[in-house]
Amino acid sequence: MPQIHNRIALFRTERGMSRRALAEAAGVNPQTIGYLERGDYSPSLELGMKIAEVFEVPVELVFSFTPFESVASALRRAAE
Amino acid sequence: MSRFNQRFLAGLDAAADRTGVPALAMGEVRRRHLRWLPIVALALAIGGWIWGMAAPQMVHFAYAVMSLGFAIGAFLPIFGPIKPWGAAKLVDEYDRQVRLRAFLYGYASVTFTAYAGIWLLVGLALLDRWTTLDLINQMRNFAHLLFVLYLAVPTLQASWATQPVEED
Repeated sequence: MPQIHNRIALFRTERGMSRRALAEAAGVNPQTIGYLERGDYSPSLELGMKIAEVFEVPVELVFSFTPFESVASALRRAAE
Repeated sequence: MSRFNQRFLAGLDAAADRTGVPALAMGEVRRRHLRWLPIVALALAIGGWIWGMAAPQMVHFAYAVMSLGFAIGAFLPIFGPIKPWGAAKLVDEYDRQVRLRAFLYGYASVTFTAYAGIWLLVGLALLDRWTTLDLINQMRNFAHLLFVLYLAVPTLQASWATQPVEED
């Protein structure tokens, strides 16, 4: 089964949201958000869409089959 | 209600809370990754079972050792990482997946051990010419071992397969 990468921690930090707040909004336990952020667990389509909905972004901005570019390299590329 | 009665009943409530039983009943017990306790329970149960077979005259002492493993195992589903069916607290898809895998390992270990153990008991009974009472005692010990496996293996699997997440 392919690993699903995510940017949950990035979006959460950007919005100043705790794991508990995101978990309550998505209807899961805070530990589950922790496991998702750590890449230990791949979410169901339903949970993935719920999390994307909380962040008000399309689901492909939060989850991907390929690793996301790091913030540092994205900023470096933008500055060039 | 008099002030004395109010204070008295409040004191009784606080004392009951301190026992931890109300938290248990409400499903508010903090669940932990128990990595070593299931190993201790299994070691006692397996060790006791082997001891009972190797020394049939000590079969009742072996049963006592296995019971110690069973006593430890009985607490594993309460305090371990697997949330039970019908838990009062939220059980989400991650919890369900952990539970599913853990019980698959648990049932597989019980099934395999039961199949292998029955033939082992039959073989030893024939080779060692056990009496009917010996065989009954050995079967009792073996049933006890299966109970401990059922209690300990799911917690063992779930505790080693996942790493705890820190609260933020």
